[in-house]
Amino acid sequence: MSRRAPPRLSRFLLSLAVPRDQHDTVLGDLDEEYAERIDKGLGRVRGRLWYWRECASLSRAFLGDRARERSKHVGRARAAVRNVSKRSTRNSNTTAVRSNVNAIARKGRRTEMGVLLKDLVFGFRSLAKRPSSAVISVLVLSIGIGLSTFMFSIVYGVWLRGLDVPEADRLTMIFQTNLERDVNQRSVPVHDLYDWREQQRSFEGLAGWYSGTVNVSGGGEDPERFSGAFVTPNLFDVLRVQPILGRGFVEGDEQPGAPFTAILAYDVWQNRFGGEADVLGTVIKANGEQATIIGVMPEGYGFPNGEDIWIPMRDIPSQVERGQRSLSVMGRLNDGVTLQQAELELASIADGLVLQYPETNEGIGVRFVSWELNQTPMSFGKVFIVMLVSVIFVLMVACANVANLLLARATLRVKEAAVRTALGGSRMRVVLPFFAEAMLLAVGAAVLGTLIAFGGIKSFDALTMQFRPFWIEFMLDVPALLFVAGTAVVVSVFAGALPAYQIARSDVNVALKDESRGSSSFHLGKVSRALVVGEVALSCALLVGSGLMARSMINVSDTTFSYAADNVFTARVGLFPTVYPDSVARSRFFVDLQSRLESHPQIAHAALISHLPGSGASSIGVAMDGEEYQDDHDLPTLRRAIVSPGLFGVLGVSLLQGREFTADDVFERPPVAIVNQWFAARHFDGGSPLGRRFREGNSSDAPWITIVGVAPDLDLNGVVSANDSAGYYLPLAQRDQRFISIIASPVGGGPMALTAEVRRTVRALDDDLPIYNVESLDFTHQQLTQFFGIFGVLFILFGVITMAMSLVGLYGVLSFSVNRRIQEMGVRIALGARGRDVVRLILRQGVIQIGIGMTIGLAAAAGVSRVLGNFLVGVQARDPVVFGGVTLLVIGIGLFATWLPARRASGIDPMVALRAE
Amino acid sequence: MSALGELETLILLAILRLGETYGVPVRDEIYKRTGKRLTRGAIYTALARLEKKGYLDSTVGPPTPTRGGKSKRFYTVNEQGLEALRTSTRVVGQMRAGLEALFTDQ
Repeated sequence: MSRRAPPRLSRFLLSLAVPRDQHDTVLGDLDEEYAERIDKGLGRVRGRLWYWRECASLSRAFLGDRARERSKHVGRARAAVRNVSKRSTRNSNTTAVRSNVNAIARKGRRTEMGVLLKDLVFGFRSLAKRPSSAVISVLVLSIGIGLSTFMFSIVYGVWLRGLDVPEADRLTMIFQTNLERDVNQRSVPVHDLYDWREQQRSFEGLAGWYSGTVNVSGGGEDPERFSGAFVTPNLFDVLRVQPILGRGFVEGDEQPGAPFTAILAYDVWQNRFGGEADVLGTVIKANGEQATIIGVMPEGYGFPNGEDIWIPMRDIPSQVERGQRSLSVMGRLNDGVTLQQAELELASIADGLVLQYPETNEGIGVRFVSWELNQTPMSFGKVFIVMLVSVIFVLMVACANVANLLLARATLRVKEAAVRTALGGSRMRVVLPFFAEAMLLAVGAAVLGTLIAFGGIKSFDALTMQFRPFWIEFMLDVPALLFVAGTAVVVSVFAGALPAYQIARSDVNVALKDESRGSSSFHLGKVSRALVVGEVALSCALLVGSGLMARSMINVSDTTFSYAADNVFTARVGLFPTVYPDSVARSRFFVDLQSRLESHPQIAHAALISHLPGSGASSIGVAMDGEEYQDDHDLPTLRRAIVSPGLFGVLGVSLLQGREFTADDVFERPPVAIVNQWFAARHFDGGSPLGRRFREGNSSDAPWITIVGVAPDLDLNGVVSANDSAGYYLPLAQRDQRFISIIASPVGGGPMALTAEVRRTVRALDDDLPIYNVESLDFTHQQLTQFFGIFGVLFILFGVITMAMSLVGLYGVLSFSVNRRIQEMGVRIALGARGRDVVRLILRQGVIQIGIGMTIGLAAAAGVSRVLGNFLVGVQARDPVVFGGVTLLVIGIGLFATWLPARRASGIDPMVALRAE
Repeated sequence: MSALGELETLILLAILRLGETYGVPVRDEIYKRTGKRLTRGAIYTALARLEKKGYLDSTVGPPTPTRGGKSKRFYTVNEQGLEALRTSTRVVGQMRAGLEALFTDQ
């Protein structure tokens, strides 16, 4: 392109805006001035910028002018109608006149529609003439549209749809902050909530709750453990969801002495109480206390965390000390109050409370967070965003492929377009058929893509049923369909614009004079090649992501546990303060339970543990004896589980050093701990940790804990986490614990055969106590890794699809260019070129594109892998195996796609080629 | 006959000054004399409008290579255009009568 040639695309766009009779004047003047400016030494880049700017301003002026003209025209016609009808109100012909004049007003628009319709029919015919390429385009596009719609539905379900309650956008979660202490978000003590409620005017209501376990017994069934919420009586009013049966809570239900009540979830009502209406008034035992069922919530309702039962929150300010009992809080704004106003008001109330109660409220502020964002924080959601971006990449690759196909077909129609132009067809008229074709393809793809998305969303919904929150649902609803429609429009514009642009800029004179069959004047090259480079780059980046996720997945599923995970029974029990008021009672229960389990003939080993291996134990800051710590922040964090004697026997591992806990490690004896090998490595650097001491927290009141043993790694940190898993175990008999997991290995047979025995053993100790989360340790691990499996598979799928698409693209472009050069190849061969030379010629073209694409792609991949970093297990973000593998794969597949047309070219019979005029 | 807008008046005056001319010099002339930087689009649409109203005549010049083979359109103000200008300046003049003191340059 010569230095003085103005940018073509902007000129083309401008030419669409300028009326035909002013084309030459306007474009000519502009080009002339551009040439002058360039001659005066305006740089190429600045010159082009200037040209673009001028084109934009000109287009705006002309389009505005046209719009004004048209509206004037329509306005005049309408005025005429008004006049006619005014004058001849009694004339029966009025309507005819009116429609006639309206028709005049519409005329402009209608002819345009007629043309488009004709082009659509024409486009359909021309597609039908070459069905194979049409089918390929539709398939490729539908995969792109289907995948991106699928991901869109997921992101929409997680972040945008929100709670299914009336006017959910008027709801907000409210938290407290303590910025001086780096606390960004904490739940709200009940006293503060009640003070807020008294003083605020911004909210229709403020409700609070906390979630917990509710053991239900009575009604002749086995005791059962439910997850429940302890709520302020107004919660359902704030959410505007009412029971379908019975009544909701009313103010007063939470007061001491009021009758104890409970509301059931729909499923619990159906399963445990047979779905009978007479469930109202039934008295059950909830956490050891008599409670009357007063209502049943609608199906699918489980606020906040898929609860089974709701109970009034009775830790009201008169019952607890200030600062105790923290709640999650949600408010519904009054009509006309904005979030900002409400936030301002609550902030000033909080300031007042600071003055009033400096001991508890010093530094406390408020913070509003939307429900969805609080449930799925951005950090976690990054993976969804990455995936949405990846599928948009896939869609872009699909688009590029189709644009390329259309481009290839366009070359065959240069002459047709030239004739149209020569006969006076406007630019619009000449390019429209290409948009029409792209539009047809996009519509076909949208229909097929919707089906693909539907299937994907259905199965994703089913797969995630287990672990997703109750209020999230994945479905193909109106927003998703709108997304499909929007995508189809973008696709048809994008895929149609390139060929249209190429056609429109081709020179009529040359095209008409050209004697070959209308293709040699066509500049397919640059654009097409750029598209392929883009495709290679995108698939490179995606494949690296896929590779990293695949490796993580393999690592997770291949985790060889250092302990026997496949033959272990687990179940959980929770003791309630009403029945087991103090640590002595609880401790006695646990000791009894373990000895009964151990003495059972079918149980080989049994133990109790606070956190199952692989499920992620809690973290805690500890101070090592002999170290100085400035601040609590400086304390090293470690994982902690609380276990009974015998744990290591159940898991079939032996300690590396020291001794196990014994029945003598009780409250009265000095505190002891067993640390894991990572703890030992991190803090004792090879030396023996036995006899060394540490304490939890940095307070001098905390007792020193002496290390008595070193255990191998038992996944204290969770199965899928890549972080440091240094941690320690404390004896159950020295710690007060309310919830505990039973872990047992059978003498023979499968682990789950123990279920009935364990349940019987527990009920022999306490008839009201249910066991829950009954599963094998293996199954627990599978559950934990399931998330990984699903997302890993999705990622791999995306990568493979993109790779396939860029393969198609590369092949398409090269084989097209080979076809165009058949005569040239024939001449070369006739003049003595060998097959090898021809192959090399074609290969070179492909290799350059692959090389450039890959360089860009690998750079992009580095960015992708950084974002994925948090989700990788046992593999580095810059894993050389993945990067190397992807590089080889892309080169290999790319060369293959190049080699196929090259081989064809080398086999050309010169006689045939030369005759193929 | 509709009244002339300010932009149209400016353009007619500029063409009168330049004689037979085309878009770019009109714009330059207005800029040179008034410091008003009009957009290209405004000039072209106004020229087309003025021609349609019958105030301007135009002829198409020969295409030149610097213009990419595009021809140039030259405009001249015709008698009707002149009349329209006279009318509109007269109207302004009549309204100004007696206020001259306000408009003399200081």
